Formats: sequence, structure tokens, C-alpha cells
Amino acid sequence: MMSEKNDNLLSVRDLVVEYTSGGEIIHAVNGVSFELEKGKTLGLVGETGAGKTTIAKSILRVLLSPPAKVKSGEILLEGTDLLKVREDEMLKIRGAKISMIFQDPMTALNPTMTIGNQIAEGIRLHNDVSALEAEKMAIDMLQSVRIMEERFHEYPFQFSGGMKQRVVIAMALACKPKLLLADEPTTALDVTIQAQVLDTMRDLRNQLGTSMILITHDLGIVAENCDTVAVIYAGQIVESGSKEDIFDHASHPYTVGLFHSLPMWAMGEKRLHPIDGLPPDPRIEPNGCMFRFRCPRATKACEATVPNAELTSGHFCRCIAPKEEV
Amino acid sequence: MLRYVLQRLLMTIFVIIAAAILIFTVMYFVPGDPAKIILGPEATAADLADVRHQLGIDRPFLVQLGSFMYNTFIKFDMGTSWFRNTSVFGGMLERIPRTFLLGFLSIVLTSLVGIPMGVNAATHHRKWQDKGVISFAMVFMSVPEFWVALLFIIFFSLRLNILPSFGIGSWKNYVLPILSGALAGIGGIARYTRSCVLEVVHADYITTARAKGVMERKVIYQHMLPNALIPVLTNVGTSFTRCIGGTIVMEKIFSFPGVGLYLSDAIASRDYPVIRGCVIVIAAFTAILMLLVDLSYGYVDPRIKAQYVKQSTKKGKIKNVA
Repeated sequence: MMSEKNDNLLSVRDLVVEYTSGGEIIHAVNGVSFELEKGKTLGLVGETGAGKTTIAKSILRVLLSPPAKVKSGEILLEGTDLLKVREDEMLKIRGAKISMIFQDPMTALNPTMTIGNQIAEGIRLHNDVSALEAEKMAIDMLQSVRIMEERFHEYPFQFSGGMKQRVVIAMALACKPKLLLADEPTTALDVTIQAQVLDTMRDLRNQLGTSMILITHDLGIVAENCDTVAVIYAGQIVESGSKEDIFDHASHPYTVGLFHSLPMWAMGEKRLHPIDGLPPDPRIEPNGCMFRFRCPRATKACEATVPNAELTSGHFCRCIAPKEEV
Repeated sequence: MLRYVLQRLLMTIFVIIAAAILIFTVMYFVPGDPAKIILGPEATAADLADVRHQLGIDRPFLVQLGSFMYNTFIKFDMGTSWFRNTSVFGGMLERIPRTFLLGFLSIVLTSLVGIPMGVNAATHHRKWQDKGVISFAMVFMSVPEFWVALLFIIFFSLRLNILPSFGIGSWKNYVLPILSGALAGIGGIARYTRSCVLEVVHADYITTARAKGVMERKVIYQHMLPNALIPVLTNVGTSFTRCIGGTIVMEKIFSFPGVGLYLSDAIASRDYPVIRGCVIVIAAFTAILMLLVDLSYGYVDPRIKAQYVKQSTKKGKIKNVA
């Protein structure tokens, strides 16, 4: 049997995902590797179109194919390569071992099915229980996200946005998964509801011991929820490490730029410093450092392949001239 | 809910009455003298006047309309056919079940074949299954139904001699009319279902269902279809009414003695009571069917059901709380 030396739950290695659109190839994910330890939370940070959602969907294998295609790589869940697993095996993993929370709670629930049935559906698929028992478990799940039992038979249109997202969370955690993929779980919600939803998620995860990949572009949420962070730019991880590594010792010019584009009232800054330019056209075959077009410190050498250098233990940065420690 | 149904039924009655007045008026002003048709071209003026008096069509318009409405809606008597000398009501009673069966079977066939075809096309978007369904739909929606019917008669009745081309009597008589009438319907429903399913195929909740580990077949039939089916349902409902009212061509080609043939013969011979009877029955049928279609939405779409419930129980709820 596979006995991994460390207690990694998930390792993704050299994942490459492409989309075909109108005959053109779009390079969405270009060789992403990361590890996730049991019980820990990894934050995937990056701007829109960086490939965050594509990574999550390839782990769960719910990418629509065509147009999407996983070209190469490995996704190891406790030693099993999910990309090689048969589809009927995958059905037993989805929702049971890995589950996902989607970005927009408004559209993530089936409008013609009761909330309760949508939660119970997954429970019945992965547990050998009767319909009645599944209903009971679903009600427990609803109550754990602070939704009353009476609302079991109601439909999504009778719920508010925050409540819908709590239902989605209940649905995702109903089978006590080992890994939760949270794809911008709070982006569609207003700030007061955000905290509430994140708290609910944290409480439940702590109870169940679920690991999580939290996809977001909100660095504040990362700071509060994650153990490790990976910063994604143009389908590549440009910097990764512990939360402290990234927040206190940001080294890649892109990561540094991200922090500069946050409002810093405490530092007396009145203006934001956005990163100039736009992300590169994803149709371009990745070569060298993809950030060089916007990087203030770019040189000729950036056109060559840039190694993923380990700055300090566990802190990786894909840059030939990482920022010096402050 | 019950109040809504009653309201709609009341509306239906008005629709039927309006249809009756309309068809009576139209037929009154349509040129052509029934008396001449009955007696033939050599009839004398005195004979014609005599027959007109017998039929009651020499009276003023309003008097005729009044007695027609009185007979139809108060005495429930639709009169006697001027040519067959049989009661219109009896004639209808004999023919409605046949036409209804024809329409019902062809709609069942259309739905059972068309909806899965459309779903299959949508879930195999741009693959050969999709292209096949699109081509099939295009061909049979463009080709006139009567032409398909004639080809079927040539092939199945004349060449192979396995199916009769006219009359009723055995189940075999139903096969060709149903088949030739249903092909265009299948094409239409398949195309419509395809586009409706394509709209939900990329919906987030479909990905949610897949992420739960639901089998692909169940994703399609339990998550996609209920959401895609609402507009398809209207389509099936309206094509059913078209089947009942619009089988005239099919019934004529296959000499199938149903309401359609009854109506088309009556129009040719200016048999006013029969025409009126047929139109009223078709109008009533259509109105009731549309009501059933509207009500069935509630069972497919919980949002619509909630509206019915809200209207009728909101008051009660508030009282309970207080």
C-alpha cells in the first residue's frame, strides 16, 4: 500500500488544464503543484481568470469536457490519483470525500427541488440509510447551519442569499468530507453576511476535521482562515508558503503588488497602488515568467524558464529576483 | 388553489360563449345559400324560400342568434344536421372519442420520442447525436404533413400492403394517421426540448448536483429536466389542442371519421348546426386543456405553486398568528 511519508491529504503535481474555444487553446492552468495537510486550510489567491476555479473543479473532476481538458499532472488524494480513477469510483468520492461550495449561492441550488431533499440526496448517495434517516440527518445538518427544521420542505426561492449559502455549506459538509473546496464562498454576499458564513464554515470544519482549499481574492479572508497560502498568476503558483511567509515576507513582485493594492489606512496611505496592466492573454503559450509584462523589476532574464526557488523552508517563490527580506 | 380553478373555469364558460357567438356571426355572413345546396341548382324560388323557412334562416340575424344561443346553452341542444338529419350532439358523441384517441396517442408518441430526443441532443451538444436530431427536426418540420401522409400510404398501404389507408375498425387504422401527424410534432418538441435543456445544462446547480456525486443520468432527469420542462410543457399542451382542432387534414386524407372530417364536410355543404357544434366543442376542449396545462405548471415549478397558495392561504395564516 501507499504509505506517504508525511500526512498529506492532497497533493497536486504539475497540473495542466486547457480549454478549447473556437479552435484556439486557452492555457488555464500551467503546471500547478501544491500539497495540503490533513485538517489544514490552503488559500488559493489570485485575480479573476487566474485559474483558481479550474483547479478546484479538476480536483473534483466536474469540469465540462469539452471544452476543458486536463492535459497532464497528478491529483493524489491519500495516495490515489484522482485523474486515473474510473468514473463510477469518482461518483463515490464526489460529495463523500471531497465536496465543493460554489461561488454564487443564488444559482447553486436547484430551484425545483426542496432544500431538504437537496441535502438528503447527497446523504442517501453516500450512506446506507433509509429515506427517513437521511431526512433526519439532513435536518441535523440544517440546524447546524442555524436554519430551522420547518424550512426543510421549502424551496431555494424562499431563502435569502446568506441562508442559501449556509444551505450549500450544509450540503457540502453533510457527508463529512475529508476535503472541502470552497470557491469564493462569500464573494456574492455582503460583508455582514460574509463573516457569519465563514464562522459557520469554520465551526463545522473544526467539528468534522475537514481540510479546506479556500479560493478567494480577498486577502482579509485568507488572513483569518488559512494556514498556508498559494498565490496564483496566469495559471501558475508564483509564490507559496505559510500564511506568515506570504503576509510578512511577501517576495514575488506580484504578491507584493497585491498587498500594495490593498487600502492601508494605518500606514497613512491615502491612495491605492494598483498593479499596472492586465493579466496576459491566456492564449499565449506560457513561457518564462508570465508576470514580466507588468513587473517593475523585469529584466531580459525573465524570459527564460524561472525555477521555483525555496527561499526559506516551505516558502517557495517563482522569481529570479525575489524581493529582499524587509 | 380551488378559487383559482373556479375562476379559470368561469373564464372558460365565457370563452365558449364568445366562440359560439363568433362562429354563428361568421357563418351568417359567409356567402353561400344552404337551401340551394340542399335542393340543387334547379330548385324554384318558391321551393328555396320554403326550405329557408324550414331551416329558420329567413329570420333576422338577432332572432336567429338568440334562438341558437337559447337552444345551445339553455336546452343543451345543438340541433340536427341539415344533411344527415341526425342530431349534431349524437354525431359529436360518436366522433369525439375517435379524434381524442387519435390526438392523445399522437401526443403521447410525440412526447415519448421527442423529449428524450431533445435531451439527448442537448447533452451531446454539437456531437453527431445533436446533429442527427437537428436534421431530423428540420426535415419533418419543413415537409408538409399531408405529403408525408401520402408517402406513407404509398409505401405501407400500396407497396407493402400491411396497413390500411382509410376508415376505422381496427387499431391498424390509427397507425398511419398518428405516425404521419406525429413526425412534425416530434421534430418540434425535440428542437424545443433541446434548446430548453441547453439553457440549464451549464447552470451552477447542475455542477452542484454533479459535485454531490449524483449519477449523470440522474443529473439529467432529476436536475436538468424539471427545470427545462416548464416551457416544453406549454408546447405539448398547445400541440395537443392543435391535434384536436387541426386533424382536419389527416382525417380527410385517411377518411378517418372524426371531428375534423365531420367539420370539413359540414363546411363544404354549409351544414351550419354541425359547424357550430364542432367549433364549440373544439373551443371548449382547447380552453379546458390550457387550464390543465397552467395547473400542471404548479407541479413542475414550485415558484408558481407558491403563488397559488399565497393567494388563498395568506389571510388564514395571518389570522392564526394573531
